[in-house]
Amino acid sequence: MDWLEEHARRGGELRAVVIARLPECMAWHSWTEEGWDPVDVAAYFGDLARANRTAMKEVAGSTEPVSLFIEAPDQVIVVRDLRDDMVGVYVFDGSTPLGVVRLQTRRLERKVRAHLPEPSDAFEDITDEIEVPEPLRARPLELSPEALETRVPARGERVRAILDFMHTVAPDPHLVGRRLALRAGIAPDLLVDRPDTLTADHLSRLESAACEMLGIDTLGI
Amino acid sequence: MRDVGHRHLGDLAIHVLAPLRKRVLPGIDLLGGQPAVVHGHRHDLLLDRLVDDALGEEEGRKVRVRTARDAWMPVLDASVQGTGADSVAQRLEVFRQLFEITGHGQILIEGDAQGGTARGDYLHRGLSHNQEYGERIRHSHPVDAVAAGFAAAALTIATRASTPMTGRELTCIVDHAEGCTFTLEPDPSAEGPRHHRLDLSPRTGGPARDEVESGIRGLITDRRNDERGLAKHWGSWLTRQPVAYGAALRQVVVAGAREKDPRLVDVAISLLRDAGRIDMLHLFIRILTSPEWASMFGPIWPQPSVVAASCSAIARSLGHGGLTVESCTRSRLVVLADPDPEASWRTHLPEGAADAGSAFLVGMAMAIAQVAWLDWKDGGPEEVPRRLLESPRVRVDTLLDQALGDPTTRVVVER
Repeated sequence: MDWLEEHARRGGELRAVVIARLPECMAWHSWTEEGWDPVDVAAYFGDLARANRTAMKEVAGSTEPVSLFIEAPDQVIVVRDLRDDMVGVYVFDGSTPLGVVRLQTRRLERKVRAHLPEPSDAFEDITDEIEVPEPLRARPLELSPEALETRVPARGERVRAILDFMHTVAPDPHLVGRRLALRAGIAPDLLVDRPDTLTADHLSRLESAACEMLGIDTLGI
Repeated sequence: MRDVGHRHLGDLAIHVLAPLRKRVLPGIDLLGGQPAVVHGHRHDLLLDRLVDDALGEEEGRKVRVRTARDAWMPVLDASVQGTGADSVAQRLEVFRQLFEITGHGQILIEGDAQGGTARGDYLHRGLSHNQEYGERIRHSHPVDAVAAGFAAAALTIATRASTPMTGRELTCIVDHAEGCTFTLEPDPSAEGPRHHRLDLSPRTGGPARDEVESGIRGLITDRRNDERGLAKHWGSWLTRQPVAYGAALRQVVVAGAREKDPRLVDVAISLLRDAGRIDMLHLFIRILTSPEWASMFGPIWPQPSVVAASCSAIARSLGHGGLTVESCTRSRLVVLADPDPEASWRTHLPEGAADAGSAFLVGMAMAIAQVAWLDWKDGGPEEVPRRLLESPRVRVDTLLDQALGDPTTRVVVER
């Protein structure tokens, strides 16, 4: 049994737990009973958490983590900030007393926090034995005079945005740059070192490759 | 027990596997006369994805089905001889058992020489794909090409069809279907089973039999697959499979990369190495820190050479060839493979076609180096440290290659 399922099932009142990544609002990990789609839960309640953060910042000037309680006839839903890039969504049976909801949420959140992955821009410094190269990301622009004549900065920005997005949401982030290059048929020196020189066809292939790798129709970025 | 003719199912598992699986030498396992290896799901999933990256989803799927069928056909052919199954039903039952015993899940195949259908439950690729990628990939094409190829090979051999079958997966659990279903039909472009007569005798003496390899091999053999026909051990879904499947697909990935752009060949090879490296990293670390290892050999001795030798024994026990560590310091590792089953297979390729070289072996050598160079003073990490998953900044040379006629395959990893 998965660690999340094991802890989620203990109380008996939970119907779903979805840990969503922000800002892309995709499920990082979940346990749900039948009828709850983790993709939908992550998308809708992740968006709600983002909107709530913006509202709190604009209206109250607060950037502190917050919780949302949603009481519906059949469910009580708790949305809690875990950290800047993660939010937890806990769905309880509607008959669960609110005190139990709070207690269960706090207990489960402790377990969830212990399993969260490192933030995407941080390394776990377990060993200093092996140096790790930079992942295949777009580097700052360094163009030859010939390339300068044909560069399209907006296209380069788009390429960088796609690579960054894919590093955040795609499986196996340590492989994603090379896989994108292979799938799109774009030489890595072009993709990484000279993204501004890519043609419209290159960009189209890159977008298609990214969509195929995520199983979606459009990137939405 | 269900009667399947002249033999009961309980006996059949023994009768299916016993005549097929042989260990002829340290590091070499034969399944139906063909060299076979044990891979974890991370390797299998990534290799399949790389084929699709190189060829596109549709073509990639066709090639994976065809490659699986061609790799399994000689094994299934031999299993008919080995078990004496003499009716179509009995042969299909033998193949169903073989599929389960090798950790691929459950499959039910029906049909005749004109075609048929198959249904898969708990298939290895679908389940492990959902576990690894399920929440990050919203919609996936069917992923059980191995099962489709196996089913096509099975119906071909069982019915003695004059034209080999091909398989197509119609529904798959990765796209929220309840089960996986396949259609099987004749493929006029296919050839019959090819039995590769591989020279697997060690040319330099090969590794000595040792207790570590025997112990780990015993652990793998003794561990039963679960009731779904799956073998999840040490955090990996393990399958036993013909060497020919992975070896052929590695060539396909490199050829596909070259056709797109020759500058992508190095990218493809680095990804193929990482498929082996990442899979073996998980297995090495989980096995070395497992209670079973501790009970058999005690805690791992924190010396790079000892850790590297232990990893090479684990690799041998999984059938990855006669691996030995020639030397291991804190900055340099030299691994020898004699015999090297994948190199033996590559000798059957036309000259110049073996571009992927020993990508899996190199990836495995890199994993051995990474694990040997970890700090093991406190017993080592129980999981693979996140940082190790990135490609290490090391220099790797394949100085000798049995596929090119050298007496051994020799990989040097330096940092």
